[in-house]
Amino acid sequence: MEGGQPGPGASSPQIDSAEVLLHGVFALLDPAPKTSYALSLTRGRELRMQRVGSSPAGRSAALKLADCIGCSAFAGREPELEPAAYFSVFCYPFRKGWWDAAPARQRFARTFRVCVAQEPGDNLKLAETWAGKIRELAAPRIPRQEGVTWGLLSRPYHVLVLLNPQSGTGQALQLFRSLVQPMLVEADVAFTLCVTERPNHARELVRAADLSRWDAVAVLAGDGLLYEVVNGLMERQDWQAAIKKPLCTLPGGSGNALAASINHYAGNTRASKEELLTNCTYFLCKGLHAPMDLVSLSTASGKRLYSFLSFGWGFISDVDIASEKYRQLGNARFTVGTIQQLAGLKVYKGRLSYLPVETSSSVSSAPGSPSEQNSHHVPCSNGHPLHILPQPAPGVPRPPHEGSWPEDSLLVPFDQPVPKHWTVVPEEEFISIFAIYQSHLGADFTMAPTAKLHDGSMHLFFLKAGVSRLGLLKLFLAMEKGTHLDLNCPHLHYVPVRAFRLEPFASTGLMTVDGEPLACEPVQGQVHDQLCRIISGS
Amino acid sequence: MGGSASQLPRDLLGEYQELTFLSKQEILLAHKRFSELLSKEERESILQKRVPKSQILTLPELRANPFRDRICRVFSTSEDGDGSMSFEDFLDMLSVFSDSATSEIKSHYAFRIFDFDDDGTLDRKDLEKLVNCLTGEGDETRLSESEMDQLIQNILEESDIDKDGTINLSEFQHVISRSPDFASSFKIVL
Repeated sequence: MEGGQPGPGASSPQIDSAEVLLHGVFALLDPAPKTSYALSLTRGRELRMQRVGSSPAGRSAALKLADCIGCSAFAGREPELEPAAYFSVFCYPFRKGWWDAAPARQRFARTFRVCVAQEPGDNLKLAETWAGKIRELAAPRIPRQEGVTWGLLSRPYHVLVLLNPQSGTGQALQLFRSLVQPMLVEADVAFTLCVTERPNHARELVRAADLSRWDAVAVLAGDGLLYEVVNGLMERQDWQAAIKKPLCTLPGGSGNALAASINHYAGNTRASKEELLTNCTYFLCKGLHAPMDLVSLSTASGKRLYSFLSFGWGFISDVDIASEKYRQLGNARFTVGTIQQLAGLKVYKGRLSYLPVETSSSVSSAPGSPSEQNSHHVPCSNGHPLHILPQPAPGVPRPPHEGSWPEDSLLVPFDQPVPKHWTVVPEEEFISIFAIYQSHLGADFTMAPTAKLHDGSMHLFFLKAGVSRLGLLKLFLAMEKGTHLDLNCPHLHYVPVRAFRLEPFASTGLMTVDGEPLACEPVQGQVHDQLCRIISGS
Repeated sequence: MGGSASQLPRDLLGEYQELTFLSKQEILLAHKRFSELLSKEERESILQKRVPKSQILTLPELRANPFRDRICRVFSTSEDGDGSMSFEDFLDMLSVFSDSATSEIKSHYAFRIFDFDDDGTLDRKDLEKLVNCLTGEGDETRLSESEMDQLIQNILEESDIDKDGTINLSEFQHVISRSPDFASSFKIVL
């Protein structure tokens, strides 16, 4: 049958979506045995089921195969007695629950009995024809998007699933067995489950593993585990190829900002806990993957990290870390943590500079030595003199292996001032500085509603000192709906940036990278467009 | 030791060390600070005197605390319910807020402090008062009704385990005590 589809939107007039590709009458095995259905598979990727029975207006339903994750055919248990074969269809369409306002994916499975011939072999062949055709029609269309290359895992594929058993009240393993595994089986996706035993276990594993065994690496836990995987991949000698291995986030109940964001990008309504896990597992069963920006962060002490979600210092980071304990109760929520931090509101002093997205597109990035650009620049002191070394200083360390990491072409070493075209924030007292590269900080936290997986920017928020506790609370509440920018709080600033540098004046508090704590010291970072790939919905 | 007319008898000092989390130095310092809140004549019989709440609240360590009012009321043993504190009430308070007090003691008292209507649970009204204390007095500095509703809804969702619409002591302790920062926000050191 035909391969690739035409552009998004309307199908060409020649294709009749009602055209029937296969037709047959089979008995439904469950839930209602012995009922016969007339099935039609249409080019419009639907499975139409019309009940055959005494009543003239037989019940009919149309299953959209876009929602189908798998279909398999199998022979009967005793072919001598019973020549019938069978095929089972597994779909997860959006349906409204009993009392939920928002629709959620609900399992819809049907098994049909094929008994049109005497020979079991013939029945099986027919069942396999149906199953194969259904699978073919269920395959997702690869989206065509300007500047973005989507991919599709080619079947059959094998996924490495890394699971943190402590994640989210310790239910991750049970969630895998009861929710994720059945879907993977239905979708005929092979998997290897690896339960992590300690922090950094996943990082070490991914660093050393033979990745050719798997087509994708999934993480069932929180963002922290994916952070380990990303950094483990970048620490490999063959990082350039390794980082292109499609990754997948399956929310295990801890901080799952990326999962919430991906859910949002796919156009789904807010989902949390099991619904979110079902949605993400569904994406894994479909196999579509998209490029994702990564941010490389360097610290003055020589650390080099890769981040996919956020970097922060100040109030939001404090709440993030404080809420860690609350998240163990199974709630990825920040309210109690926020109120608690509010009681002891701290001011964080430092210098923040950034390269706005708008500026960077008009200024050509000079590939020559960055020190040339700054030879005329007087280092701003503010009582904090910067010592300039003539040679490129050890501000950007070499990676611990031969292959060199992607160059941070937008950054200059710490002992040089930031490039001329950067913006330096004049105020130096902050309540919170937070750069997020995805849309959500949690299932209930739309921090950057316009963010995308590959928008080439970090969404930098900084809250200057002087905002009252009341103002902070109002911002926090507005953030749940993503309306915080509409409040026009004079202390809150938002700007999309390509790179930034933060120089704290004192080591106050902890910084966070993807929700993980980092010792407080000067940090700078920049976006690396579409460096990795992540399983996603279209 | 200069200044205080009456000193703390040795046996009382020892007793206070036993009964509170405070060290000898901390008790002596508390004694000094408490006597400064009294007039010169009153200092003679410091242990029998009660300092009115308004005086206690002049202490810089309490002045900036959003819950200063409730703190006085909770630790005051005054039968009039006027929040006035004796020296022993004062020591009790400092003991609970000291570095050495256990997290369990702190959370127990925190609960009582937040229980504005003293009915043993934190219900909507208590939580509203709690938030208003945090955000400051005055009508302009309040959350709107819908914002308050949203906030309280969140708090209950995050901490009300038995879903009865209120937070009881064990739910409170379950949530609060796990926080690494809780102890530091419940600290008063003279």
